Amino acid sequence: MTILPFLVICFAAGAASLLAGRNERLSTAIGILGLAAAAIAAGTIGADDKLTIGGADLIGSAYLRLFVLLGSIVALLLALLGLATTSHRYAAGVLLGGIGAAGLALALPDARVAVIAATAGGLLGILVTIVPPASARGVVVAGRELRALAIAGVLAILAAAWIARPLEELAAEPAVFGLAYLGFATAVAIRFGAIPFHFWAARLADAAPEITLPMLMAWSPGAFAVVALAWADQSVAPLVLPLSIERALIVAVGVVSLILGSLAAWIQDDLEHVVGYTIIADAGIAILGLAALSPTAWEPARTWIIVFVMVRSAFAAWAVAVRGAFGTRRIAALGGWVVRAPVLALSFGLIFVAAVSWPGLVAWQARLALIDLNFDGPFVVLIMAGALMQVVVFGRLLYVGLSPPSEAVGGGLSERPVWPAALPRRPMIGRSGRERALERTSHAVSGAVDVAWVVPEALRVNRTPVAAVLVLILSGLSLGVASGGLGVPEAARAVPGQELGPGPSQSESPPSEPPATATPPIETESPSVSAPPASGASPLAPESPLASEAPGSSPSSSLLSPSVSPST
Amino acid sequence: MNLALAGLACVVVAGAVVAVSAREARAALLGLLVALLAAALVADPLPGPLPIAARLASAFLACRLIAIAIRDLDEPTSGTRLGWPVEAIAAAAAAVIGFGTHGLGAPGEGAAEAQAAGFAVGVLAASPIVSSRDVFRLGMGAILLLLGGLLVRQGLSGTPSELEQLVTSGLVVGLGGAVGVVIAAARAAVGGLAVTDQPVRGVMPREGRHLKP
Repeated sequence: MTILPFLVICFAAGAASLLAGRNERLSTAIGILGLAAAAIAAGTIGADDKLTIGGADLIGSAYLRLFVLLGSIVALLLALLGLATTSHRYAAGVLLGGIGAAGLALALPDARVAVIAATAGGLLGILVTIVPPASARGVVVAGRELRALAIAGVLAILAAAWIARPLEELAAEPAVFGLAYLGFATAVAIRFGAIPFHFWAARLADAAPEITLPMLMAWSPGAFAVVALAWADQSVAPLVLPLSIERALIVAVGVVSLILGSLAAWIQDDLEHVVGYTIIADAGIAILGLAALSPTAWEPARTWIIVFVMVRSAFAAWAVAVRGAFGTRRIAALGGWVVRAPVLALSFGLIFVAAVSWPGLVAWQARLALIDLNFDGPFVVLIMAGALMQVVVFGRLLYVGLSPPSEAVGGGLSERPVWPAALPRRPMIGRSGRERALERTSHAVSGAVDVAWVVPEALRVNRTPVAAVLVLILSGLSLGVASGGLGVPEAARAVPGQELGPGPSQSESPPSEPPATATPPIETESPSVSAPPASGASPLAPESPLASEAPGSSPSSSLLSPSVSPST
Repeated sequence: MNLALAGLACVVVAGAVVAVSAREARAALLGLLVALLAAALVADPLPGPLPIAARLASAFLACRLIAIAIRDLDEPTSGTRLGWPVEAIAAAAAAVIGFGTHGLGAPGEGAAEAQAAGFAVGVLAASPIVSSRDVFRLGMGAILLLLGGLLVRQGLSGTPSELEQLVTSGLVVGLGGAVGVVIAAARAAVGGLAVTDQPVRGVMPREGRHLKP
């Protein structure tokens, strides 16, 4: 029952905030209160909670709790940041609805329902893509977004439905499973805006309000990817099928996104474009997790998804705060920003450390594991080097920040806090001790009223330092997650519906080792050399869930149930 | 073959043909409404009354949200370039393929008629979703594409659970709202439904073609 309050708060407050959209203040207030309540409710979700509604289960897990808790906190900070900088009348409602839909998708063990929820959540983004006054460019971007969501949604719905039924009489096993797997992976790539499906996502950075970019490009697609990962690990990975071509295609999309996304981020002159392309680059690593098709990828892929959406949210927030302070998104016009905005510079440093990380850090290990699962030998080093190309992106921003101050930065808002009005002085005129005591009390009350009266104005004139502090909090949180804080590895390792255990296999083997699987995972030496089943052997492993099913029974009940973990 | 389901599938396809072919926006919307309403019933066994009510209500709400956006619209949509007979024949061919390949390689758990209707609706959605600059037609294409996917899903995996029907209803309402927002924004931005952010290259204006040697 602990999942239900979170969902009710998200959807009810989100709907109320959207319906109150004509009154922006009211809409934002409802949204911020709703996000705060959602964060509290998210923290109470039980890891072993199970709720049956309408013939389907909603299952709690540590990963679900962590994902929606962090998502709610990030959305709350972004909504507050929107108050300090620029926002959209629907932003708070969209953030609420987006994180609610992500939570619903992650709580649903049946991929057929989860993809519908994740697609519905993505549609909310269209509300904020069109910024009033409406422009032709905004409409075109919204149209592309709608098209991408529809195509990704239908691919995922078909893929999930295709193999979630009795398949004893399946005519062409590898082809059916391969096509379903490829379809779902393509849907994930489209949702992330991975190259070559990036046209809509690249333009989204131009059209949508900056504070909603993390939800539109990272959190919602991230939840979609987690659903895809669970589906692939439970439905396709346990089978030993020769899917080398399909895997090679998915690996290609991941690598191309990783390399070209970083390159595009490097050459862009618009901060929001830089944020957008770094999200696409990081999404490439997440897609590699889907391409690995191995139970070993379960933990690092889920870890990476939660790390990268946190880090990119902090980066997007930093970009919003920089624009709010200096009034421009052009990198060339941001000369000297480091000196002018030291708190933002500190946040930038934290984001850099979280994004690039170093050996031993959870973010680094997860990224390395996903690359290692798909490549062998020198290719691991090459792809890892490609993943670290974002050092150049950050280095460029730092170089510009350390150069002489530009006109925009020189004339921008300072981070130094100021008080908008001098407080009146009240001289003491009482003579006796009792009079002076009474007078002091009166002065204290009057002084408090004076201060309270000026607080709204103080917040207005201190927008830049407030925004900088919010970004600093978010950056610290992202670094904490990237270094494995808040129990990220444990949550990523756990299987929905089961207590926290040693891994998806719930086996005794340590997490760093391949879980003891009944069915051997597909070889992961190279995307082009996926091991086909042994000569003469059935492509369907005898211990696989499909093979163990009694004739006539639906494999969906076992394949999609949480008791059959990716490695069982 | 279940004749009642076959009849409902025909209604779905007919509604979809009208939705993609009619140049009058209200007529196209009526076609979409018919398709959405009938699609909720193309399942074997039939869903319970509550899921059906949710699907019907979501269909009405989605179309209402689009209707608000096209209120007082006096220009026709771009319609189909192929003409409704071609669309209908293509849909019929797709329906035959969908019916004949029920299960897609293994016995399907749902009605073959649902898969047939899904294939037909998916084929009808292809043209507007791929090539349309008209946001109304694009929206019709997006809704029909997802509707086609949901119908094929019903044909492959059987009648959805009540929760899935509820989530599907949310998706349909969300689609209607999103399409309505895009249409309203297009009308506010350019005063019409056809929107592009770049000049069309390689196409001469119709009235200027005779000037070219």
